[in-house]
Amino acid sequence: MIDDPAPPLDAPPLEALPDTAWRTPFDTPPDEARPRLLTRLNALTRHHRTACPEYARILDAFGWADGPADALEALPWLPAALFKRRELASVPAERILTWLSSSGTDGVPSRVPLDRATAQLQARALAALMRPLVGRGRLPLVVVDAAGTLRRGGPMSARAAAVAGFATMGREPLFLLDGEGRVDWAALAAYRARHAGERLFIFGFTALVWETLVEDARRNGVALDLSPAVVLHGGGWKRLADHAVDAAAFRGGLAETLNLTDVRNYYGLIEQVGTILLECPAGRLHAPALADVLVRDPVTLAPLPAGRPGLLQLVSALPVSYPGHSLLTGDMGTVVGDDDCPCGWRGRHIVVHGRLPRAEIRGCSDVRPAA
Amino acid sequence: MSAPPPDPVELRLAPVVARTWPDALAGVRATLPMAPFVEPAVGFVAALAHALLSDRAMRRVPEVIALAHALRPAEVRRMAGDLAARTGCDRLRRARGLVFHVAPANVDTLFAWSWLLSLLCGNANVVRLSRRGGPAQAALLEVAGRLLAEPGWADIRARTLILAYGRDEAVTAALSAACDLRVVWGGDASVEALRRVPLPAGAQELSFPDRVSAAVIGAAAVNAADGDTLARVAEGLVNDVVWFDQNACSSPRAVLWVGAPAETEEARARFWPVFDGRLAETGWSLDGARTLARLAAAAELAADGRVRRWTTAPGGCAVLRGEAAGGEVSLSGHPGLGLLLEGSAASLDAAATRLPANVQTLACFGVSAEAVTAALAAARVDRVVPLGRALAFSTDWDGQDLLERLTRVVRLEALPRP
Repeated sequence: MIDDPAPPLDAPPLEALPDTAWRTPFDTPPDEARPRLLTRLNALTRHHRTACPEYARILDAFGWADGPADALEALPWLPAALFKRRELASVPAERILTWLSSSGTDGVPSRVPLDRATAQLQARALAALMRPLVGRGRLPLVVVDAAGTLRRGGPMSARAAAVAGFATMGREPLFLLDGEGRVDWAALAAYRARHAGERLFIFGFTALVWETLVEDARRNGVALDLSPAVVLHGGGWKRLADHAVDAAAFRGGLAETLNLTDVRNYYGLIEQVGTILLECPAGRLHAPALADVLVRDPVTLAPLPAGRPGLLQLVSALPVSYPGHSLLTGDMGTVVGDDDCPCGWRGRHIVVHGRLPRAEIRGCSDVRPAA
Repeated sequence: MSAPPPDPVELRLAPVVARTWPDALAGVRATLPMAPFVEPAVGFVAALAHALLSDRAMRRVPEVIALAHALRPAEVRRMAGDLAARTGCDRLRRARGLVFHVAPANVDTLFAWSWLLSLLCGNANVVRLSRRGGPAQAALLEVAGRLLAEPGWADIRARTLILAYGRDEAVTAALSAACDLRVVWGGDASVEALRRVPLPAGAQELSFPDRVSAAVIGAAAVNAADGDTLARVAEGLVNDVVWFDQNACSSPRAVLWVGAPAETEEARARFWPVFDGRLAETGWSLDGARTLARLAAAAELAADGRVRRWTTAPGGCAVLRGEAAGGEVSLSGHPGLGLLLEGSAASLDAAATRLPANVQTLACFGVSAEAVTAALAAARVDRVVPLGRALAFSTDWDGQDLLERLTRVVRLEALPRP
């Protein structure tokens, strides 16, 4: 192990993103968004190479050249899983506000450090991104979670970060679950009545939304019309897939129990909070202008064209405090098209198929560490 | 929230009358030990080896063939002779009694090696299988099971219990309390976990901690080798690396070149293309999930500064090779999966200083055994073999003499005439 002589250096400050970069996340023509994104990503690579010694070592070891990449495909990338195994920071410790950690379906969380700058970028990006969904005003917000999720001390989980992030986009939040995970249906009915005629913004993790707004509702014979409302859910389909619930069943359930018909999925990494991919009215996940997505062959890692499923690589203009701007995920997906979605949103749009099965690395021992 | 009930215990091979594991254990305990290397144990092992070697389906699982080969009659006779050489009229070798084996998750055939060696030594055996066993484990159990069902092997069946279960300390405790020797494979975590489970005062434990292994290659010999020799040596390293996904404790995870810099550079340029060619012929490759897992490990090794440069591209190549940083070649956290750290040294003595402390096997080409042993006077290397034989079974393992550990010595002093 190399003994680093000094903590990460203060890199020369990154140029701020121009205001135009923030305006229309799904309306920006790609020939404007993409060059700007590439310039920014190259600047981020340079920044992280200087500020994060581990990142520099990885780039050198994998032979990524020093100069700027001429296309997204040529950008260096890290396996997202690396953030489960190493703490990588591009800012000195005293500038770190908090560490975000993922829920980790395989039990090992990813951790990334946020400084004030990155946190602000993320919040601003998320707000801009959500405007097509919730408009400019703040909608009455129903959080399909417990208030306690936010209040837990220590490193922030992905769930808490999502709730905190999206909560700022609504007003008068109602937390639907109590501390024991029980649904307060009466409170929800009262909330709907109190905000009669207003569009509700309902947010939660996909599995939780299913378990409460569909399964619990069915069990308790709840018949409530929550429309008009928009439901935003994310966090993966794995838990539902285990119960043989697919997207169609999910939507059908929500329409049946609570007359919820505007249902949108989002897909994103804890390592790239703020540049999530959002589901459009035509059911595809769109990359916002400050991000993009590539698909690579899982074995050769060569970039694949549209229509061919492969590993998703996500790039984002936002991560400044850690080298998370170009990441190869463990999720499989397919690029459906580029700038040709029937919904009218610009840019690349994809479908996500799900996680690659976890590699069964058979180490010596059958003994699992004590939980 | 209360703990979930333990998973059921599956009896894979058990004495005929047993339906539950306590019954099976009682049955096995009730048998009397046999002498080492007598019938029917010798006959059974010969029959099993023959059945495996002549079964065409075993071609899919070459590691099973390797096991059968290591237990063929000629080898068993050699083992018997080895043990006999240590006995005499005043010193006998007898079985320990009941041996409880805890098999590892990474080498499918090891449970059978441990079991059968112990059986040959006269012991009754209880084997806890890994539940993550693959096709080789399944194949072995199937063939052994068929054989044990035959009435001729009833005596063997009566003293054999092979089971699998999840986290169940009660079962482990009971099996440990019943045994005369506990054999723990599976690395530090297994050894430490099992050490917390008490053994009776009269029982011994044989344990196998985390070990790593490396290949040592003399550059001059590679440069002087003809095409056939080079092909043979490359094939040896290919097999040593790809079997068991490079996860066995004796799988070479590093390659140390010995020679002058120019010599070594030439040797590497000669050797690796032949290696890659032979590797491609085997068709061994990683799927997407393993490619990603290996990538994450490669990024980690680079981030830590333990690998300076990956000399093969991250995607598409079957074995990823990288230049180890100077000093000790650290192999902790190495994921297997076909990843080789390359280093070089001007001499064997210098190479010895680059080996990690828990290195077990050196698979060598182009260096003599005598030179290696001299250079390693201080190191903990337990095994020096030719390249290609890293994964071969041996009754000397991890510095232990297995035949000696699986038996006990009985001292018989001459008694004065009555």
